[in-house]
Amino acid sequence: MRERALLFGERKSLVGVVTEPAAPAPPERPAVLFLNAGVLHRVGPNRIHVRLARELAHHGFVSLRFDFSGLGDSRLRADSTPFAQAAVAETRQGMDVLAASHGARKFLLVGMCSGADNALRAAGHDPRVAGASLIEPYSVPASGFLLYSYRKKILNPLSWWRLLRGRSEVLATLKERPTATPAAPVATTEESLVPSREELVRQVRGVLGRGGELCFVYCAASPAYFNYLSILRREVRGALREGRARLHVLKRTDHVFTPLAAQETLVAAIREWALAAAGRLASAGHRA
Amino acid sequence: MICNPFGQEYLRAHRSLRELAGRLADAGFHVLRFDYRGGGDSAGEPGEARVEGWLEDTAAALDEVRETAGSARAALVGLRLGATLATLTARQRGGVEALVLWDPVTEGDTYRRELRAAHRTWLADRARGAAVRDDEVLGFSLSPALAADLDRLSLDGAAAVPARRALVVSSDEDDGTRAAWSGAASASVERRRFPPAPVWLHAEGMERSLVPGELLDFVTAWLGGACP
Repeated sequence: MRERALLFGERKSLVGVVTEPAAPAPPERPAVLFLNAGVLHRVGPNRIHVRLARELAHHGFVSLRFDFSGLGDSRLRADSTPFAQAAVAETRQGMDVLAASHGARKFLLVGMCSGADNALRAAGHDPRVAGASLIEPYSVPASGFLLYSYRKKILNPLSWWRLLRGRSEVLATLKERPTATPAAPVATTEESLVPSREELVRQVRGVLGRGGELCFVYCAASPAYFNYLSILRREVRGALREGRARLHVLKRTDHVFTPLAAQETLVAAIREWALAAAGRLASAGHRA
Repeated sequence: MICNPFGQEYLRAHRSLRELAGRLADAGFHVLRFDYRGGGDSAGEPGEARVEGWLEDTAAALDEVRETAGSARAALVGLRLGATLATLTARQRGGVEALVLWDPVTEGDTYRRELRAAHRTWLADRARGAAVRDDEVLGFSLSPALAADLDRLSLDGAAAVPARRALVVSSDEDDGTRAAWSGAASASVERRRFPPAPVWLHAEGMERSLVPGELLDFVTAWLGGACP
């Protein structure tokens, strides 16, 4: 296994790390891209992207984990392209990098939280995407306030002060600096980032309709899983039977897979899915 | 040179420290950020991490930044556990111009207990039924060997501050270094309190993350003055 840092994109402003297997990957083997989860940089929640990239390299996959503009080490965009649109463009640039360096023709995208939404979006825009692993995607706004507050909870993690000291940073801020204005939240544009119910169905149909592979991973208690049950289950039924779709529902974990036991399960699920998808792509290639 | 914190704190502080590096570079400093072995992009697995290895990494980074910048003059900035490692490295290597400790971990055993308590609370709130294991904290491995290392870690007992100038930036009245550096040693330390900042708090949209700009500007300006 080898790792290499690189700068790419139109302005060479995107930072990524390529992980490659010790022996060159077979050319028909898809390459893997890891997309940012929320605002976490390319190592992923609890460094899970690093672990997955190295695990997949041991099984012959080359991968790229990188930072979208304005996240991690990547610079802000020079234009005002909306985040969702930029994320698709930058994911495609990431694919271009591995196409040029490793001859990759097909890609698997792995995304957690907002990364899952972006993976599905990018899959709809680029036929090179052969499959996507959607881990705890954001939920579509379907069940009102409860869902909204859940999303707020997962989108607005605490600072380390509050995490470690159990204090309310808002109260502390007010108490200590009565005249200071706490950093004001920016006007929400979240709704525009979360796909609508119709969009979600259209995106999933799009990938499966062209023979793509989908792997859904949820934690049992998450509203996203209820979305799956109420919106997606009937869409993926056929693909589940054919093995082109997989579903994993993990208990005793949170949204970012904090327990190490849940991380083990997640890594195994993604590895097995990637290997199965690569196998099907290889046999489809031979038939063609 | 910027020394990262550990584990969940590392993840949450990444963008802020990247911003700090950018501001320092704009102010004319060469800046090095790096990941300790077993963390971030660096080689190794978290389960193998030891404090001694992290100190070796920090010392290697100090050599590297001195060599790359072509200058023996160096300043170290550390956040949380990174502040502890920066201080110990400065003490061991010597010749450090300035030291900035941001919410430093001064007693490793207290820190480890805080991590464990936060881990239990996190699981109880968000991952009901998950086993609370001794060898993990907030998503990261904490091997018994590393736990023992942390328990031995302390800034206490230092007769002198290991830098020509030192700044402690803290959200606490007692930043912990007052006990560690008492008397004459403490007199050479400047202290500045900042309210706890939502460092990793993110706008609801994905357009930008919030960083504690005022604090970063203060540290940048202070270092500019300390290292003319």
